[in-house]
Amino acid sequence: MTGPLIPMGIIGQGWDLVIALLIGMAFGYVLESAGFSSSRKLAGIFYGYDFTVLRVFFTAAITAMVGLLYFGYMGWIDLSMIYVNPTFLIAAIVGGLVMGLGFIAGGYCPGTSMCGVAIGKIDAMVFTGGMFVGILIFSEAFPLIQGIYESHSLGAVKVNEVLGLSTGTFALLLIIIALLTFFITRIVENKVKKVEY
Amino acid sequence: MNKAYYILAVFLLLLGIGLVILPDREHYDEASPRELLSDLRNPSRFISTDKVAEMIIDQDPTLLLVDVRDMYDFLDYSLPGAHSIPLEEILMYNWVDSLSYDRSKIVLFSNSDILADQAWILLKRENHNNIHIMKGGLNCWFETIIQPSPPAETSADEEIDLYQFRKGASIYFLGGTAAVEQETGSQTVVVKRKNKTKVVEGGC
Repeated sequence: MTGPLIPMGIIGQGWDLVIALLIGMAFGYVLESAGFSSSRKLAGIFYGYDFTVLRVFFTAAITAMVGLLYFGYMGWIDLSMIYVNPTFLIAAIVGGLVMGLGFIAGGYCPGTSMCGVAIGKIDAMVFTGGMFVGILIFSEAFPLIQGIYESHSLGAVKVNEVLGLSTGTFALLLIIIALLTFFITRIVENKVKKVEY
Repeated sequence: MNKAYYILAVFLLLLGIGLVILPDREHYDEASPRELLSDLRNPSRFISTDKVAEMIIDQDPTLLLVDVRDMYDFLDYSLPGAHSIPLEEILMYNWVDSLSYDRSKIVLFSNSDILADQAWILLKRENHNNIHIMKGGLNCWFETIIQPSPPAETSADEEIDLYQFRKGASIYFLGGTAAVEQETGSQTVVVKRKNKTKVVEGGC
């Protein structure tokens, strides 16, 4: 059996929403147990007193990366069939800035705000309401921003291809960067005044 | 810091180094290039138009004719009982079941050999078996089955038998009209009347 399971036709396409629901529930549970429903913990990354978010997501990324690459090497998954999100350079930069501003101002990202709503946090509910207003504004104003949205399309590029590195070398570099980041953020956390929340 | 973190960090690093050291490995879920080459050189991947005609006439249940030309060509003319799977759609999952049915003899055809050959290679890479190409395609079908040319009178018996078969097949596929046309030809019967002999005058 070779993955990815849905594109290879091993699992029918009708199941993808069911699988998404199950993964979503597991993801929500893990986020909440890790304390990610607290906006103070999440915003800590911007103030330097808590880098848990960075470490958790970076760990998740490199674990998934190493896992996928080894699965690909063993022939358990066909990496060429994995969907790679296409890059729209300007849209990514603008979107990143907006997202970052929203994150630092509201203390949540979209996923964690849902976690906050689930445990009844009022700030998370307001944040989620704002998110839907934002979606509405974006949809209505789409004709105006379509130019930015679709400009500088690079296609489904991967960083290692742009840098001209092999997948393995890039993976090792990313692991080293991740480990260094973990080490440095620990030092910063120890130096910055503890915030109780 | 917790000791477990250091162990995990070293473990990740080792995995990363492993990814650099490991050579690139190609995985072929499909037929390997070597197998493909040997299949390509095997003449049994072709099947003659005569054999196809024979199987159609015999109503061979294992025969699965696949027209790989586009839909318009298929609607225009195709072999009796053929399925239309245009080349662009040959790898779609809709066809997997019918094409991977082991007991059937799948015969691909197009106008010439080219499209059918491309489809054959694609299906072979997908590890389908029993895939054949109708040699010469529909062009050859017209030349040999629909409008067979008669062999020279001095030909071997086999050739004459083959011609007889082809003519029979032609009648089968065209519904008999071809034979009638061939038989009638443009022969006109010229009735020659004998000149009346004059009445013998006089007597003995």
